[in-house]
Amino acid sequence: MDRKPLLYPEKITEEAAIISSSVKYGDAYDYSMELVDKANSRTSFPIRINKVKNDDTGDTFFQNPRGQVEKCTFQIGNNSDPQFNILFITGTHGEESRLWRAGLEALLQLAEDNFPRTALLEKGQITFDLFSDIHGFDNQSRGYSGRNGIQVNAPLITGRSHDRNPYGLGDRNSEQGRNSLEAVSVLSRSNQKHYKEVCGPLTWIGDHHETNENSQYPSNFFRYGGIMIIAHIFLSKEEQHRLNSLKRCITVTDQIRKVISDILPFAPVRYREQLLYNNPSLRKIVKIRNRIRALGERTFEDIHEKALLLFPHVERDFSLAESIWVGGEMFSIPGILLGPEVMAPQGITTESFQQDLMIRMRQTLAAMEAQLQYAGADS
Amino acid sequence: MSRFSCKTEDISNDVLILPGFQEGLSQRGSWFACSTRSKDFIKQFHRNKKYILRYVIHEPHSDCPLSDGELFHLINTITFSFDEYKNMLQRMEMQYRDIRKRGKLNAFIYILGILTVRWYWWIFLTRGEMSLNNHQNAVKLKKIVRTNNILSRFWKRGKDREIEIALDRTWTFYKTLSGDGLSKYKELVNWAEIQSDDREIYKKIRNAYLDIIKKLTGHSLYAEILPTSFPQRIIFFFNRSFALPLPENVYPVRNLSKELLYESRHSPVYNALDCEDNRAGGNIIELYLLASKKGDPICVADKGPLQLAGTLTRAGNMQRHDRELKIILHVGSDREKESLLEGENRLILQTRILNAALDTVRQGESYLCYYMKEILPVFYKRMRAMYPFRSRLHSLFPWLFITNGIPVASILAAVWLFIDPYYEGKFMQSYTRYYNRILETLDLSYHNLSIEVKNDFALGHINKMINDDRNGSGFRDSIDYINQFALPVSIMDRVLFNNLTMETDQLLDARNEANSFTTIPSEWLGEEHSHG
Repeated sequence: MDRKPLLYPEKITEEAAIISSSVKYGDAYDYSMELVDKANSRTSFPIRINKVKNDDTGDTFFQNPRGQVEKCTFQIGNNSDPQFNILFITGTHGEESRLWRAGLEALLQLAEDNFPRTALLEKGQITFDLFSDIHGFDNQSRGYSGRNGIQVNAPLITGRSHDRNPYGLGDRNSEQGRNSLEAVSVLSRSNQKHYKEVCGPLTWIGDHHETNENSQYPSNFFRYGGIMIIAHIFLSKEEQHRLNSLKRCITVTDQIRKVISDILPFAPVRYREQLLYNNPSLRKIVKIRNRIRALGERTFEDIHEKALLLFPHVERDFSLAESIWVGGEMFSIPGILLGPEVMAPQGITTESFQQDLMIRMRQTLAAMEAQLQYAGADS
Repeated sequence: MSRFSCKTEDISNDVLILPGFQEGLSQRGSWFACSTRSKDFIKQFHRNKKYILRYVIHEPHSDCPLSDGELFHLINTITFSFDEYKNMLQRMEMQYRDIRKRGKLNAFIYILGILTVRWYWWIFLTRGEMSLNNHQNAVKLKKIVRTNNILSRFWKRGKDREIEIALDRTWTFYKTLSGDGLSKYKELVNWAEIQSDDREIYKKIRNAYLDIIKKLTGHSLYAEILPTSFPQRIIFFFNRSFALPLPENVYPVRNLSKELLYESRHSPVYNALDCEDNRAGGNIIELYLLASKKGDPICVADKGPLQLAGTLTRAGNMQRHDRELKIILHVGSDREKESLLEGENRLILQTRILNAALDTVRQGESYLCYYMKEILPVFYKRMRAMYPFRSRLHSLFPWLFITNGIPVASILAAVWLFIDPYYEGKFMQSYTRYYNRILETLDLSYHNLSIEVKNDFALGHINKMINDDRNGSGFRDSIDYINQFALPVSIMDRVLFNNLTMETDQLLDARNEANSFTTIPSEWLGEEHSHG
């Protein structure tokens, strides 16, 4: 590794992992506030705490299963004239809330005075939303709002059986973005307004998901699958149509064909990698993936796709390169914009598959580090 | 031919309980229980011999050791994993056995055709490669079937001093380590290698941690069973089925260290006085401290074992909403009440009482096992005999009806008849989750529990009667009073059971086993029960 690391994923402790999984929202909020206050007393880059306003009532309280609670985001770095503006989100789905502690770890490590970090923080600002879905945090349920826009997180998730529409095709279950504004939940509306007010125009967004023990049967197949990157890049309708008609270069025969079509000047484009070779956003994301690997973490390998070649299957998402995917027809045909795509021009969503919690947190920290390197320090 | 007697061999397998961190049993992370490697485990058995298997479980010293119920559940999961594996192999064999037979015949005819008749159109009719279908699993099945020769399984706690010391040392070394799990386990492997100068236990610890590392860095199930490379695809072409991986030898058990607890200020234990809303409501288990003639007094739950399991699952769900579990312990006299709440006794009482609750559930589980094993097949077999069309060919009748009516439905019918992979999975999942939840409940309540000791007049009366034991009929006299005071039926059951087992010495072992771990030492209760 030629670059000096900005974050140290291996510094995460077992206690942190246990706290992240066992503590309720109130405790998590107090705990993180305490640590942030401690960090603020020593650092030269203080962490700014911004409370989220409730869009309906105007105050800072939200209804949670355990009563009225407050929500805040943390911000660090140069506020006046930032060259980059990054937003990191954890816990978008309430049931995947374990990673809030990883986000907090990243924030605290950034606040420690150290050369590459100070250079980074002088350049731009980074915002952390650790508890994105505070409603689902305690119930361990997904953001799940009714037709009137109020979150009805009543069902404790013990499976997906209650979820009539698991992929949000009918505009029922989208956490951040929905087609009709009236149907967006209070929390999502307030969050989006808050991001606009506090961050300003974003240059990059990182949304971090996980698959944990609440998830069900099919995800068990991807156990130890590593971390998957879902790219949020702008693709025109034509490009998407073309991507859909192409394949990924996976098998040996594919590789031979690819070499041939690379050499021959008038040969048609055969694979997605060739089509998107010069896409700047994808270049950046590939660098991020390589960085995560260089930090010693596992990314979602092509071996899974090779295994899936055995079955004829319909693609839900397109895979662009090894461990990099992009939201496909599933979202594009009904015209659904994913949350991160609404808020920033480019960014990634990471999915850390089911495995040891410590490893999941490490992977997420590594992903954050890589994003800071290539979307922050390099900008 | 039935055998009336057979010689058996005793086999003992060590199960080590080792510190670590994995998600599995509960949110607080669980430790590892490592048994012998599955390959070595299967090798132990011969097909013509019968075996008695004894698990010896070793754990390090702690304030809240694993209870009998937890160990029972652990052994059940180990045996269940092997049974599941065997079951899967057998099911695959059911599909492929006949195909393989036909394949062998076809290969034979094919060769015969080429050699003698020289009609090459045979090529299009025969499929010789079918003779190798599911071949890998068939070989494995022959070995795993030998575990049927285990006549019975027992478990006990290990009392080897050397192993205990080694495990304690491992835990103390583990506490000194920092960093993430994988690097910790790697250091532990190195440490155990240095410690072991021809001592077997350290080698075992080293191997166990190697297995844990292997488990954490392995491929997913998908990538393991499906062909991913060209040579694997060729094997798959002939084999036509998935090579199932052997069951793992690493299982989750409760985290024995309390130090990792984050003291929650929002939890009701710490602010019960501040906020009335957070107090325990309805999440209660009641226990009665019943006297016994010999030995220490016994904790008896107010419900039977099967009902208590239901109560505990409910308690777990309430605990997940941060409501504490409250245990009300009824005792007979004020003296008992005072001495129980004195100083250090209170902390140990928690674990003791929780174990008592779990042990009651364990009895329920064993009732269920008995029911499933002994009673259900009787009805099942009878049903089979009563229903005439239950042969393999007759079971295809629905297929015939449906496909004749709706041609496209043949696919649906095939799925319904042969595949439907989720049906048993759903059933088993719900079944295992039920017991896992109970264990999780207890794990939660080790950290979030309040105990209230109450003086019960009726119980005191009965206890006094049993302790006085006039004319040696203390139990029998108390039965009338239990009815009169309308005490729970479970107390009546326990009194009757103890009375029965007092009558003959042969049943004493059964009595000791039933009462073990649900007792509370009489030293904690003052002088009254000291004669026991």
